Amino acid sequence: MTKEKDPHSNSDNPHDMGHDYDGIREDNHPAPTWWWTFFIISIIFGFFYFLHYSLMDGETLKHRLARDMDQIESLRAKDAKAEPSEADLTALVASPAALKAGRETFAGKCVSCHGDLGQGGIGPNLTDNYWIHGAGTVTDIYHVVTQGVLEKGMPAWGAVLPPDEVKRVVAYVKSIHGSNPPNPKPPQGTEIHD
Amino acid sequence: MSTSTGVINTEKFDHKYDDEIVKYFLMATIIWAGVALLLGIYAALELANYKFNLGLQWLTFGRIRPLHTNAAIFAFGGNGIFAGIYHSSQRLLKTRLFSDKLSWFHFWGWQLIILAAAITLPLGLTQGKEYHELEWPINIAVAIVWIAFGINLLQTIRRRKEPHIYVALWFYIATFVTIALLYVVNSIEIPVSWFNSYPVYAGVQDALVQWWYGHNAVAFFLTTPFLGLMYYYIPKAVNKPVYSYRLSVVHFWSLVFIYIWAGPHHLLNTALPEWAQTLGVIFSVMLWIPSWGGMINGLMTLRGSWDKVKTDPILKFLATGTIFYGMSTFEGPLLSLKSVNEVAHYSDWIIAHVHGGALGWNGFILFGMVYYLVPRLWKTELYNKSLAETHFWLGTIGIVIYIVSMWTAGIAQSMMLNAVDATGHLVYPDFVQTVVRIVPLYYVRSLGGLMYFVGYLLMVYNVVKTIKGAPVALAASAKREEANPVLKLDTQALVQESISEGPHRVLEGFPMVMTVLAVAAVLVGTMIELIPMITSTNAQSEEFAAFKVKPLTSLQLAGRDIYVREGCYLCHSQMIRTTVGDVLRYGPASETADSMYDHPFQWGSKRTGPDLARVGGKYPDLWHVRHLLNPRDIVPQSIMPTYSWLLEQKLDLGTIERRFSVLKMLGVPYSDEDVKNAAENAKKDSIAIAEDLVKQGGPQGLENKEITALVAYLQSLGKQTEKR
Repeated sequence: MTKEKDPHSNSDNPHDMGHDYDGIREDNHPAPTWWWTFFIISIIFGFFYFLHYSLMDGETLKHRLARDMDQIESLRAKDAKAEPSEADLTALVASPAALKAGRETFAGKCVSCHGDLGQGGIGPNLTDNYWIHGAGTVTDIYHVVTQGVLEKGMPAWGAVLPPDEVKRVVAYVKSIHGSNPPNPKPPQGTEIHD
Repeated sequence: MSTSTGVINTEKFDHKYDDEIVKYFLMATIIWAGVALLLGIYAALELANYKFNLGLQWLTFGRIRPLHTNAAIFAFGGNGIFAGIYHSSQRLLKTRLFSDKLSWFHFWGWQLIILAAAITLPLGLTQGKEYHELEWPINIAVAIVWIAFGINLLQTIRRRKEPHIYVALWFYIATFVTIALLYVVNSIEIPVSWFNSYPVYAGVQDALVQWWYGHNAVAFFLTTPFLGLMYYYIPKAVNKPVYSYRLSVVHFWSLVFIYIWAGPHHLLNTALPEWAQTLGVIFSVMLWIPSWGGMINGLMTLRGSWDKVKTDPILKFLATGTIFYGMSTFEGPLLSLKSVNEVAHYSDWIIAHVHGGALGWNGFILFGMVYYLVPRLWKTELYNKSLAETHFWLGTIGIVIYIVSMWTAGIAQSMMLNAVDATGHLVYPDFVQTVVRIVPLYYVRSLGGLMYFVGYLLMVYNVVKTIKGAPVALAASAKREEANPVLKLDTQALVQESISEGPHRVLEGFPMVMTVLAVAAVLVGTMIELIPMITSTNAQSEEFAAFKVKPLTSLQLAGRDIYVREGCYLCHSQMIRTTVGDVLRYGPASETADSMYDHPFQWGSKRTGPDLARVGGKYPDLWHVRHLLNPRDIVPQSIMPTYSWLLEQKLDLGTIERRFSVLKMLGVPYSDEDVKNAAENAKKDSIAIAEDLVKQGGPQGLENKEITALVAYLQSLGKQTEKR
């Protein structure tokens, strides 16, 4: 295509093209071999990549996602033991370690709606004797926390938090019942005494 | 040699160049560089601590970031390339610029546009499309001034006293034509009022057009013109021949042809149809080697002269800039692989990547050019070489600190966000848990930026001192020649003379043909990607047949306009990708249908906060009100600014009917009734939300306030689409 040397050039430089633009001269070294090699490899890669993903049966992103999510589901299934019994949860209420962990989760996830002491805010007071969903047993609380009350803005934490963390936060919520924090939200729901 | 062609005798030509315009563009470059850098440091500090916006709506990150990017790209970068193009073209073509009037129109027009951007962006007047924020009257002004520049350039080329044009000019030509095309196509919008408009494209179409534009603005505004500058200033400064002419030819055309296809790599793993994503991947990979062709030609021109690079700050800046170019163009293809992109996209890794390019490549090439030009234009010596040396080291270390801190932040945060434990749950279910870990790095990044800025200040001082020390009785700039006719070439002789050096040499004698070929090269990828998307992905297509999508109510739309005004998309995406991390955290992957009525799309490009694609219904209205009033009341460690003014400002419904009718015209299924009652309905809905907030124990008197609209919009996200 191009040749090494211009016949009119009087330069000693064998690569000189004889071009001169404002004093800038141009050599004509060949491009490095590795440069061409990688260029050709990248074009071949592109060709086969396109062939594989767009014209042949390369795995689509949605298929890959479905496969990955199946894996997640099987991890979750393996972990999801039978629903905790009233006794399991009650035992946690008596465990200082569980309550400490539960308080941390509560501080991170729950205080924005239920107040830092569970006194209520956007969401209901968790410390009084009034319950909206269920009768305030640990199992009732567990159901509300895992399944949420979506129409009222209570998220279903079962999909977000690992099962053990849910149990501990449920235990913590049960433990603050009757703690009479300052500035409580007025009662909502039905009054239930233990 | 051109003189040997017998076509023209360049030696005898008495050229008088217009260097006055070059000086003006150069000064503008220096001034706007300071503004862009200061805005960058300020924006960085705002992310480190939300209090830096002083509670003022005009200074929130969402409004400052567009100003920073526009100032860096179009004010600093733009003026810089204009200075370099006008200076080098006159010398490479051995002729004065075509028209002094056009040059000055170009200069003042560009500065006025920058001024308009500096006023409108903090006011929240924005289109909500990255690097294309400016509203429609300014779009028109940009197009006019850009075309004035193009005419000036092409007409100067026609008046050249050299038969052939040098590689730098090929790049300048490609810059002009492609930016004109990109800008006009991405600017097709319908005005609602003087400073409000909706793009004709919606959702996935808008996303593809926008990133075709956005990616190629990087290609043809921050790459091709800078390669042209590199091809002029490196051989001039080192006084050595350019390494390889044939490499210039191959890498120029491959770059121009391939670059334009790579836009979809900004939309990997999203709802963009997969064929387009795949094209984005492969053309990004193929782009690596052509880019390195430019780097090789720049660096190999310096071979055997590294002793000069050691002592000359001009060469230091130019050589290091070229190395940063090589680094960015290797990182780019790497980031375009879907698996790497899953980690890097929406994270600070991308911020590191663009700053390697902007500070290292664009900044350093322009600083090198400033140190080259100032002594020559003012006919004196540089005031202090060791100050320039210090500038170089401060800049280099600043960039390294910046890049390394943002690499670390980006990778660390993405790993945390995507981490899944043995029970199949997210290890860090709260987004903010990952934010607190990287906030210290936001301070480190600010420090890197600050060092770069201090280096810049040394340059300003050096330039001022140099100019002050210049000879006082400097001759007035050269006067315009009486006649500057278009070059009359003996085309036959030219072809005969050139053909022995190959067909490309002939082409270099016919710049207008080259211009047409460059347009053709960029049109191939453009048409193959954009046309199927724009024609097939509309409301009538099968793609959407599986879904029923409700358009927004008038109050929700008013809220969406506030969302755009506040620049929420700069920190929050609305796109749940087809990745496990995204789906576990935010819900089912986004469908193209979800944003089918979104003019403009708001998929975002960075998650400083969580994705909002399915935030609707997740929290009660009062949660959002309290969160916007003070995010820390809800999320104690949040770094989001407060948006208290939304609770005070009255909702502007003055143009809501017009907004509805524009969207109706663009294909959003509103009835005439909807349009007519838009304001009435919005008011009714606003009152209902305000009353409900009071019932929930929230503040009184929010009816007809902006907050109700924004809450209504947030509650609609993810709720509009139903599977049929």
